[in-house]
Amino acid sequence: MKRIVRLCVNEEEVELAIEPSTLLLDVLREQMGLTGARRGCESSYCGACTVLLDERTAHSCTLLAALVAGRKITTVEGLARGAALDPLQQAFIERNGFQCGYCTPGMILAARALLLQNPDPSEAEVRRALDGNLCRCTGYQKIVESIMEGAKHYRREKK
Amino acid sequence: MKFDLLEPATIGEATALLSARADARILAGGQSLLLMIRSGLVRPATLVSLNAVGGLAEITAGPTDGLSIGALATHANILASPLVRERAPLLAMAVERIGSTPVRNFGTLGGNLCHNEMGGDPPPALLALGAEAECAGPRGRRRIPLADFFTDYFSTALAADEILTGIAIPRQPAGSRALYLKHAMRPGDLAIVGVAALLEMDGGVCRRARLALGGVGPVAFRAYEAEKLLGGARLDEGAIDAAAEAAAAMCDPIDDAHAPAEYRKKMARVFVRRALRRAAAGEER
Repeated sequence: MKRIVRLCVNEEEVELAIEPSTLLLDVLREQMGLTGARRGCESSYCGACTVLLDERTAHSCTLLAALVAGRKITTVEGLARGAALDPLQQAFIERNGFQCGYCTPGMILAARALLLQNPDPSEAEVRRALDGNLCRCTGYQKIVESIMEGAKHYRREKK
Repeated sequence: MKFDLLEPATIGEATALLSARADARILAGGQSLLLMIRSGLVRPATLVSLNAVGGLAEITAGPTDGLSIGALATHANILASPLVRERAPLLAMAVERIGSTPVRNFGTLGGNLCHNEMGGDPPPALLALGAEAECAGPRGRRRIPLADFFTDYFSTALAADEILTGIAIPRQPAGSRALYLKHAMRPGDLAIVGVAALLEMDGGVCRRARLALGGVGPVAFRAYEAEKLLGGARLDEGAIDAAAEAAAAMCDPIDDAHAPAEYRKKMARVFVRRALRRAAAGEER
């Protein structure tokens, strides 16, 4: 039987009627039109569906939407401020951090989770933070470079 | 994928729900169970989430300097805990090797142990630490030594209406050296073989050893035969080889998509040897 849940997505409260077995990924994509969370392996390997839950990376294909009510959910759509992209998004454009783009929202969110905790990571720490995100185009080098570039801006903002 | 989702507020309510509904399963972090439901391997009609039960994720100092970890503590919670780093670094070494960051953010220690999948990282570490499972059910609470907890592939000693509420880890002997080594093709995979070694050393002599292996049998196990050989022995190459041989002889691996049985057994010998060498040398990494 459907139940009403209140979700906090990209700093907006929404009330939705969902089945208890509904996954967060399906709510985001099908009910809210937030397709930045991609449908990939659907088995918590590829990270295309990555979102932030209270600023930590989460695979939305493996979370029940009913159990994340009240927690702060961020998708890639929630990063830009008006026309101003998040510094990480900007860095991915400038450093060619993507080819097909399918993994990009997940990569950017995983990077953001890292930079919020540690705005001055080593390259090894960046690679480790991407352990839940697969890219099948670029071979990761450009992605890591983009994140190292974006990190400079996160450090500046923190000061 | 369709099921009912219940969120009891207490362990008592949760066990009562399990007693009343034979087709109910406990949901912790969901990192394994939801995948199994999705792929049709299990079809529970009801999931009983422990989300709303308070106090189940705590990591506290136990009596006599041990450690108590709530079943709902996530792998990330465990890695962030200074208490775990101080009192059971072996567990942190194993937990660090589980899956990927998002999986560690939501997967729980209790969920991992109850799922009991071959090649999981925490079981060998907790066996070497001499841990006990704290369980609650309609007939009361009980403690199960972890060596008796894992019964078969994906099976545990929990009754159908019992819940794992936490793990108790006793104080480790002063000066003990511990190490977890994992062999897998990709870092986040289940272990082809996982070896946890805990040695009480006195100069070059091993006073007592605890050695546990995962991935090389239906369940993770203590390699008692190898431990016997190590106790009181000077850990030279001969003693280490003999212990590795004895540990490999206790393995009962299967062929699967990740590795054939013969390879698992060979790797068990190699990784036990490496683990013992490094632990004896005080390389706790």
